[in-house]
Amino acid sequence: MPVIPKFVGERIKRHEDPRLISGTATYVDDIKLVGMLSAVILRSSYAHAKGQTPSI
Amino acid sequence: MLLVHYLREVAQLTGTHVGCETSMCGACTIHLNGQAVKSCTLRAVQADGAEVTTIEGLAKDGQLHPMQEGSWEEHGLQCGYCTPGMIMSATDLLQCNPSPTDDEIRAALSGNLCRCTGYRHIIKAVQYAATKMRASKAA
Repeated sequence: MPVIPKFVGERIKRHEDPRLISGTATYVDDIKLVGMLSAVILRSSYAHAKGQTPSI
Repeated sequence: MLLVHYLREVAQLTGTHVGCETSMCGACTIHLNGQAVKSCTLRAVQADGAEVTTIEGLAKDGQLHPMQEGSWEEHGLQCGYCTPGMIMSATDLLQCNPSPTDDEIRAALSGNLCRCTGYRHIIKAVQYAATKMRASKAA
């Protein structure tokens, strides 16, 4: 008989927590790549307006 | 430059998070001379000469801080984004008040927002840490 670990009704600590509680987790904002660009979403302040070249 | 940007981009300590950048959410909370502050409220230059502790510096000799341990034990986190700020605010509370009531914990963490847990488990995590820290002080 294989030994099946008991999960139901057991207190189980999460595997992902050590990195989350120590500040070593990698979130998307933590990623830096060579030549990485930034994107900004510019929304129109007018509904149904005709889109033209945005002036930045 | 804001202190949080200095920590993340210059010191490359990305454990301190940027949530709102308006000092509402508390994800950027760190300790400045032992006191919890929101690092998006301060300029980096204002921390010149001060002692800064971030979540990365809380564990001592590979031993988790009781507040980190409590968060793990009591399921005080899900996505973990608010967790470093929560832990830094809670450790400041426990330094000032080693036996807080649940209401005192809620008040102390009112500047830290969490969108996953519903806060109950975070309060349990703080009580876990409080109990553990009192026991180790008594020993």
